[in-house]
Amino acid sequence: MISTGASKVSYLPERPNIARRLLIEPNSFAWQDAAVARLEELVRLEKGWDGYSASPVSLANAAFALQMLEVICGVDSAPPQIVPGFEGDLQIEWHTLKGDVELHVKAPNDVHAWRFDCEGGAEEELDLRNDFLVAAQWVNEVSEHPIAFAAAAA
Amino acid sequence: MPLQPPPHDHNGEVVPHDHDGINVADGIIRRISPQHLIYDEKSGGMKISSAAFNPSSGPNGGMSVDLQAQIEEAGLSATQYVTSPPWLGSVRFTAGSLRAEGYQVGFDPLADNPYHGEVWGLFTKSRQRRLKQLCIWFVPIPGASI
Repeated sequence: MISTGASKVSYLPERPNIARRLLIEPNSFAWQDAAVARLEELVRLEKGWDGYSASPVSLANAAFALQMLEVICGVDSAPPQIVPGFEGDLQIEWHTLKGDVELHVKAPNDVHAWRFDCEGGAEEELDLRNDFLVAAQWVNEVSEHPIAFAAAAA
Repeated sequence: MPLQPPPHDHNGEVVPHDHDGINVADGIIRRISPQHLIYDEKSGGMKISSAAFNPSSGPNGGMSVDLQAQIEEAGLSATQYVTSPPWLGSVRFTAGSLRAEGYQVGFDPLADNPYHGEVWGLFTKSRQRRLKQLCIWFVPIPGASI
């Protein structure tokens, strides 16, 4: 199973103000199980799955992608869609009414990011290494519900 | 008429070139795997990911294609040839439309695909979007748009 080991810690006091146990529970986001299942599918692709000579997604890229998703996506983020590249790489995408975001994971810490804003028609492209704040902002923006977005803009 | 062999570098790799024997109206076919279909809220349906139009890496890396005229000159059905394995779809460019966008369209025969070609050039996101505008379905994937 592809896992980053990310977890959350819960304090369960038996008596007020005295912590008796520290329980470690796996993080659980709505998108997470589907993303893990999809990544596991992509690392098992057969050589030549594209009709030419493509390789399956590498385990290193899949694990990195999951780590990246855990820092980019919040509980309410739109679920990511994940497609394979041809040389062990992969691309993570969001296509909503608000816009499009594509993160091409070429290798761990080597990500090409692109977004298209449907409202302004603007495109942005940049390369990311280990700071994914911009990508998190983009995903948050395209994940906003149109009604909530309209209310905030009013 | 069979294509002349492509130029090679000192490592025996085909170098990017624009092949004289590939005519402007010739079909340039790109196979599309269902793995590259994604859902777009805006259209409410499936479409092809830009990832389907990425080149391979390396100095000579291009986007793999099949050369329709060469397949048909060999007496084969191009739709059957590119639909192997049978679950793949494909889209079709013309060589002229790719060249008009600055791409080179060359010949890169492989042991298991003697009609294999390559498209060389820039594959930025905006260019990938443009590529999607230039092609039409050759073997459609039901329910999906380009």
